[in-house]
This record gives sequence, structure tokens and C-alpha cells, in this order.
Amino acid sequence: MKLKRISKYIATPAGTFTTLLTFLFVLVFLQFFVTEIVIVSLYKTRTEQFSGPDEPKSKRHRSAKNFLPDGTIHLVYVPDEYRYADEVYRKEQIFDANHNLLWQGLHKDNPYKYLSWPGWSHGFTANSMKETRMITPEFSQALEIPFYSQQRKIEQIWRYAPDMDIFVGYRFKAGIIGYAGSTGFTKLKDKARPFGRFENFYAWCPTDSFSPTLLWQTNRCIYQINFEKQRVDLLSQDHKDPIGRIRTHMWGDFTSDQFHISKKYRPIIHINKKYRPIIHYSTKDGKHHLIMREPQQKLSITVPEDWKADSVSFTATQKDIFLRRQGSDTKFSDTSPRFSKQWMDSWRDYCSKPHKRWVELYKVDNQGNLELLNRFDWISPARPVSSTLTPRLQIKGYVTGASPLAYDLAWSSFGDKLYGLAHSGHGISGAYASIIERYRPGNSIFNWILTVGMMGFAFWHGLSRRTCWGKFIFWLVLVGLFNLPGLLTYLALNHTAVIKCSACGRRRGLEKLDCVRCGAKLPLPQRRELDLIFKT
Amino acid sequence: MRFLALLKKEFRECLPWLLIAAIAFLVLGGLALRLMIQSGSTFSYPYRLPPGSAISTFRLTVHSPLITTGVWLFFISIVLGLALGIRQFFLPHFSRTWGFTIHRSINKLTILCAKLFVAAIAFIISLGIVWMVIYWYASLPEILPFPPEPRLFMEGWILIAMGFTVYLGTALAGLNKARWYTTKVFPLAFVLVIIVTTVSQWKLSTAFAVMLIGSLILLSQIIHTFLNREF
Amino acid sequence: MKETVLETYGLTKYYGGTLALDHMDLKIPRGCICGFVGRNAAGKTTAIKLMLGLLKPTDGSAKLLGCDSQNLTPAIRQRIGYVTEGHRLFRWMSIANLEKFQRAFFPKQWDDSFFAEMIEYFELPKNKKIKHLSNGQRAQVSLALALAPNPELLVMDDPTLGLDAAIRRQFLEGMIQLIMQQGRTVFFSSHILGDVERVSDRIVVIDKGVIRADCSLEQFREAVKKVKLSFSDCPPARLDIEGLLYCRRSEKELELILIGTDDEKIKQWADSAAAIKYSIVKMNLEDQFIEFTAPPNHKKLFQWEKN
Repeated sequence: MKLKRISKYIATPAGTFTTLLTFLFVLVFLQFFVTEIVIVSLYKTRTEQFSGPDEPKSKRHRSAKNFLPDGTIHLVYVPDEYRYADEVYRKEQIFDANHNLLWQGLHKDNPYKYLSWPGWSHGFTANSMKETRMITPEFSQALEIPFYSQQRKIEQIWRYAPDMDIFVGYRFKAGIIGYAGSTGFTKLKDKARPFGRFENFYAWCPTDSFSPTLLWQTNRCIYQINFEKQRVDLLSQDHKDPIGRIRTHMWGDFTSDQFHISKKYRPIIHINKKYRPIIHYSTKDGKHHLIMREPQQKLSITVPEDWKADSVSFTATQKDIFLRRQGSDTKFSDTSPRFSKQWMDSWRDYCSKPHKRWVELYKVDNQGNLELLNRFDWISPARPVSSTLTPRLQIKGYVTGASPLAYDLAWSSFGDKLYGLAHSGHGISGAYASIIERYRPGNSIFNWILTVGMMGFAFWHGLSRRTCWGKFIFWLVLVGLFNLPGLLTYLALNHTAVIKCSACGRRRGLEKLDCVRCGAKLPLPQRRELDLIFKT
Repeated sequence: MRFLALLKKEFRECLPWLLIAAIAFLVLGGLALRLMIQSGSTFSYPYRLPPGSAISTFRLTVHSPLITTGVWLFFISIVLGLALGIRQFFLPHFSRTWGFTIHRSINKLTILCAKLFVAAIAFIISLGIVWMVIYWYASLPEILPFPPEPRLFMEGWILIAMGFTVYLGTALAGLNKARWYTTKVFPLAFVLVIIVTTVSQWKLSTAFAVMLIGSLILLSQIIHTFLNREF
Repeated sequence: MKETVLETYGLTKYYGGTLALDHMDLKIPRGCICGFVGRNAAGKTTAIKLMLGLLKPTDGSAKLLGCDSQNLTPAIRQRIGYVTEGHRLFRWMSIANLEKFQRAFFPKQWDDSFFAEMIEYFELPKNKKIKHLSNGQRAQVSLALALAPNPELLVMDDPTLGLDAAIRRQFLEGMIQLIMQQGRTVFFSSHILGDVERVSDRIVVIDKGVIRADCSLEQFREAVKKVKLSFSDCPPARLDIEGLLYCRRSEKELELILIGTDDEKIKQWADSAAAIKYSIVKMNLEDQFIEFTAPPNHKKLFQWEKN
């Protein structure tokens, strides 16, 4: 008996939860399906058209602003028809700051050697690590660094163990040979120290080796791990503040200009011998840090407070170190959900106005002081954005009519967190946040009408079937919060039979013995006088 | 003695499925591993590393040679879960033997426990033991160039646990006396949610926790439904 | 006063909005052999399942051997034998396996020799699987399994369903074996009124979920009468005879179904109605049951019936 009661208190909410969850997913699936079908049928390509006085402005805006080592700026313009062509076939025009044509021809024949800037190479991030470690039917993947002999045969692998945060080395068909941690390579497991919270890594092959070397970034340090030479070098100092984003020129003994790397391995940049490879990273305190080679040098640079919104990059040659700053007078910032009506209105408003932009080149001395070499300003023209709603928005109002009110409640209470999760979150929590962001009704009248209608139906349905007011109100609230999934859950778990009450003639349920309307009990059978009921 | 009689009866009913699953996994999973070894494609490292070149970091993440074995384990586990659930909870309804089963001089809960216990043992015996054998074989130094990660052993058990969760969902679907047939199979939809949530985890402990919580939710409903439903 | 082994109080069951059993009150004393009869969909199986706790009542309650049917303890279930409708057993088991299985639940009560005798009597091969047995053989196995533990109360749901006359005879003889043991109570439902007549001392008639008769077999047999009267002219319009259930009229004849009317009163009425002749038709239990439960204006199914 006790177990019956205990199981009821766990099973009933569990049953409600599982049924509601299933209906919520079914609804999301249907909404997604309908949205995408309509999008495909309604989608029209939009092209941006610039004409008249805006065309030169647009050309200036779309040109790449490249600097020579002496600070001179060139505008490199690629006509539309060559915009997506391979580098080998790409034609370009080079203008000076006054828009005088200096040169035009194939990119490979360009006579100028510009300063090259490191790209935002995403590398292998902590999220990537989590994704590879996901427990799938194919099992999780391991990060394994192979060590090749001169005969190009694998002799060893070094496998990263995330739970211990060290590398474990195995020899070919021979078992464990050692461990690699922040303090270096060792044969004893106890002596290997963890690297620290993993953030990112890059890999390349040194010129004198067939085996990878890693640039291993944690939240506070950057290590270089050479498995062939069995060396772990700490490149960056241990900062108080965690390391933010990291940008690299190719950190390797890269010598050949002619060596062509296929697009598969982009964004690796061809670098020239005269440049010294650079790693640039910023810490959360806003400081920028540089680590350079040939010659070896480390530098920390503090930039003015008002530069925080601007893009700051570094590069270095054998002689000098340079900083490039790119900025704009106004930045687009709207924290509404992307592609929501409010976001679209803000974006349209932003694009409909011209904006002043600039790029500056600074020289950085050995103490981290900045000297302005050149600055170039231009106006980005207003861009017409289609005034009609995107197809997605067009039907969103209808499709999300059946979405739960609870999504809006969650958004109004935890919108920032949910937005962050949806756009940078990992795994299932990011997926749920994304669902709420995408399919929330946005306080639409249509949704409110549907919600009230469904509550009304649930009220009518439940009035004759109720067993207690508490449960009845609970279900009404559930239907109100979860709309269509809530109503379907209610019906799936509570749709019981009703009969006509013999006393009052109105509908009544059978879960309770007494009629909920008039309190009458179930009617007794009509006995015939001639029934042979003899109790002996 | 009564419980033993129930266990024997349930075990005998599950035996064919248990054997089929064990043999299928041993043959298919083992064969998959042997084929991987013989083909030489037991690792997929970037073998073209010109000196001075950059390496796509994702080429350094490798699947274990047990990759196909894992897929077979997953599917056989799911099928075994479905089969056992149908055998134990759908078939008595179709053959109308619930009355004979329930009218025993034993608690109703004990009857249910016998079924669940046998199913759990079936998974452990048929898939668990075979998985241990395959993993042990793959760990032998002369078999693979480099031994599989120790973590994979636990991941295999998670895949087996997924099958058991499918079994619980099927059991609940069989016991459910829902008004509409689609709502009758809702427990299986919930099982799908559990599996998807588990697969998106990267920590073993979290994955086990998700499976455990999901299974407990299903188990509580199974107990409640079994004790309260009409037969 | 004899102890009551089976009792129900206002037992009611709705399936959805359909009333299957309507406030059934029953008291079966120890040692009684009670036949539970009714037409198709009258509520017999529902009532039995409610009594055994396999269904939940909408209203009312039932008690078996003093224990509430919704909470029958293992100890009580051990004293009750149950033969399910259709004799549903585990098809993959052999008779020997089933015996072992069933015996495990009655360690002290199980009568090995009795079971062996019954199996031998029915000429059933012990190693044969249930799925290879005929309906009749399965019924015999069911009965043997139910009787071998010497239950105090035996509840059977249409035990002779689908059996031929010879097998039914054997089955009933097996039941009589049990009946002869003192203190055993049998409650069984059946469509075969002949079987009920053979073995029962009490009859319960259920019609559309309502108990219409709950009395001894003799009382029922004596109470339900069919009287045929012939008249020289049209039969009288007004029929003020006591106990009239319904009547059938033809041009010059009347057929009356009377309940509880004694012969003397019938004679008196026949005389007063100026009937040329009258006769009390001799009916077996089946005829009586049909007349007792048939609606007065029931439609005739076949063409020749209408003529």
C-alpha cells in the first residue's frame, strides 16, 4: 500500500513531465518543418544594388586596406566577377589613398609586399574537444599525436587524456612509454603535471620533422609541445587574468614561399622569410601580449580604454612591430534575439545610414609604446535592406501561435543567459536555449488568443471530470503556460469518460463517486418486482 | 522458491533473445574489429605530413578501431531492449495470460521485479560479457598497434545501458493503458530524448547520470502503472 | 449460519461511459456450488475479474475469504483457485513445466498424486507443450492446475467454453470430485445451462450488469413457468394474473411467462379467463433462463422464426 502511494507521488509528475516533453518536441519539429517548407517556397534572393554617387563610396568601402612597412596605405579592389575566384586567377586593382590607380593585374603578379596580419584561426577549441568526446555509437574520438620515424612509419602516439589533462605516450605494439605534462616529459605518471584548463591548440609540422608540434593554449598559459624532441616550452607567462582570444601567424619554421597549402588547411597564411612569426593574445584585463621568434621577444601592450570596441591586430617584421586598429563611429548592437522583429528593425535602421570608418597603423617600440604612422578614413555607404519581412518572420507569427507562453516567461527572466547559451552553448542546453529563442511567441496577440481558447476548452472539459479543485487549477495553469502541448498533455492524461447524471441530467465524470454538479451518487439499478433475489 | 520459479520462467522466455543478441554481437562486433585490423585502417592519422606544413587539427582526432563494433553494440542493444520489452509486456496482453500470471500467491511487485531483474541480467550476460571479451581482445598488445582508450570500456557500458532504457520504455508502453495508441508509445519518445541527451554529453559521469535519472523516471512509472492498472 | 466466502457490496464497473456491472450484491456461503449465468456481455467476466482484483471497481467492493479483493494478500490467493476465461496458459511450457511452475507457489498444499491422477485420467502427455494441445486438453490442464493445490474457493470463468460434450462431461466429473470434498466452494460462470443444472445448488442470473436472480436452483426451477392457454375467441386483453413477466399472443392462444406463481393460482386464473385449455410447459433450465432473460418484444432473427 505504502509503495503504491509513494510510487504515485513520483510517477504522476514523472508521467506528466515525460508526456509534456514529448509534445513539446513534437511541436518544435512541426514548427521547424512548416517554417522551412514555407521558407523554401517563399524565398527570394535579395541583391544589394549600388548606383550613382554611392558606387565610388562602395568601391572604397569594399577595397582591402593594405599597408606597406613604411606606413603607406593602398586600397586593393577586386571586381565582383573575381571576388570568389582562386588566388591564382584573381585580378585586382591597386589605388592610393586619393583613389589614383597604381597598378592592376593578376594577384600573383602584385609587386607590392604588404604587411600581413594573422587571421582569427579558430583552431581546436574547448568546444571542439567536447564534441569529439561525445559518447556516440561510434565511441568518442581521441586526440592522438602521431610520431613518425624517418621512414615515415608511426613509432609512437601521444594520446591526450582529458580527465588527467596530460598526454600519455604509447610505443607501437609495446605499451605505455611515458607521460607529458606542463613540466615536461616523464616516465612516471605522478610526475606529469596537468596543463590547465584547455582552451585551444594548433598543430604544424616543423621543417626537420614529420611529426606534429602543438601550440597548446590553456586559460592562463601557452605551451609549445614538441613530441619528437620531447620538449614542453612555456611560451607565455602565467597571467593573473585568463587568456582571451589568440591569433597566430603560422608558428613554425616555414621557409618556402612557393609551397602551396591547399584550401583544406586554411587559414594558414603564406609568410615571407623576412617576417618573424608572431603569436598575439589578449588577456581579460584588456592587455595585448606578443610572443615572437627570430628574434625571440615578448611584449605586453596596453591600449587606450576607448579602443575596446575596435579591432586591434599585430604583426611583425625582422625590424619592427606594428599594430593595426580598425574602427567605426557607430557600432551595431542590439541584444534582441537575432532575426527577431526588433533585431531586424535595428539592423535595417543601422544599414540605412552611412557610417564613418577608419584604419590606423602604429609602430610599437620595445617598451610597448605606440607611434601613429598612418590613418585612413572612409564612409561606408547606406545599404538598402529589404523592407519586407524575411520569410521566416512572415510565418513566425503564425507558427509560434501554438508555442508555450512559458518560453516568453523564460526569456523575460533569463533572456541574456539563454541567448548566450543558444549562440555559444554546447550540446543539449544550447539546443534547448536555441529552441526557446527561435520559437518563442514574442507576446503575440495570436498566441494569447490561442492560449485563452485552449484554457477555455480545458476548463469546459475538466469541469465535469474534476476530482478536486487543486488538480483542476493545476491543469488549467499548465495549459495556460504550455499552450498546445499543455492541452494535449492534459487530454492524454485526463480524458476520461463522462455520463449523464441521473439526478441533474448534466455531464459528470466517473473518477468521483458523487456527481460534481449536484452531489448525487451513481443511480441504483431498477429492480423488477419479479427479480428472484432470495438471500439464503 | 516462488521468486525462483518466476525468475526461471522469465529467464526461459528471454533466453532466445539473449542468445541471439550475444551471438550477433560476438560475430558482428568481433568481425568488424578483425576487418579493421586486417585492412590496416586501424588509425586515421594524417600520414601525409610534409615538413613545414600546417595540420588541420581535426585530423588529429581519431576514431578507435572499435568504431564499427560500437555501432553494432548500439543497435543490438536497442533491438534487444525492444525485443525483451515486447516479450515481457506486450505478449502477455496479446496472449491474455496476465490473469494467470497475476493470480499468484506472491506480491504483484515481486512479479514485476522478476521481469526487470531478468531483463537486466540478460543485458549483462548477453552484451556485457561479450563486450568485455571484445575489449580485452582489442587490448592485447599483439592485436592493435596501440591499445584502445580505457574510457571506451565505460562508453560501451553506456551503450548497453541505452538498450536497457529502451527496454524500460517499451515495458511502460506495453503496460500503459492509454486512450490513444500514439500516447501509448510516448515512453519510447521519452527514451529517444534520454538517448539524444546522453549522446550529447562528453563526461562519462554526466552521461551515466542522465541515463540513471531517465531510467528512474521510467521505472517509477512502470511500478506505479503495474501496481494500479487493470488486467 | 455458514461463513461467507465470497461477498460483494454494490459492485459497479463502468468501461468508459458504458455500464458493465450495476451495483451487484452477492453473498456466497462456504460449501456452495454457485452457477453464474448470463447472456453475452451481461457482465460475468467483469464481475469475476473484479472479485479477483484484476479490475478496479468504479463503486462498491468485494471480499474473498474475508479479504478485500483490491488487496488480496498472497496468503489468500494461495487459497483461491482460478481458471481464466479461455484457459490461457504459457504456450511455450509443457504440462510438466507448468506443474513445476504452479507447484512452486503452493509448496505445502500441492497434491502431486491428485495432479498426476487428473492428468492420467484426461490422458494428457506430460511432455507436450501447451501450444500443441487442443482447447479441451488445455481446459483439462487448467482445471488440474487449479484443483491440485486443494483450494478452498474455486473461481472459474466459463470453464467449458469451446469443449465438446464428452470433454465437458469429463470436466464436470473432475469438478464433482472437488465438490465431494467438504468445505470447498465453487463459483463458476457458464453459458451451458445443462452444466449448471448438473452441478450447482445455487444460481445467480445477471442481465445487462444487473442481478436478476440470486437463489437456489430449486427455487429458480420452481419459480419460472411457461403457461399456454387456448381460447375459443380472442384471449382477454387484460391479464391480471400475479407474477406475469410477459406474454405472447396469437389469434386464439396466449403464452404467459410467470415468475413465482403457484399452480393453483394459474388454474384459477385460467378458469376465470374462460380458457378452453391450459398447460404448464415443462422447461429445462436453459429454456427457463431464456424466458427469464429475454426481452418481451425481442426481434426474431431468422425468417422461418417469424412465421
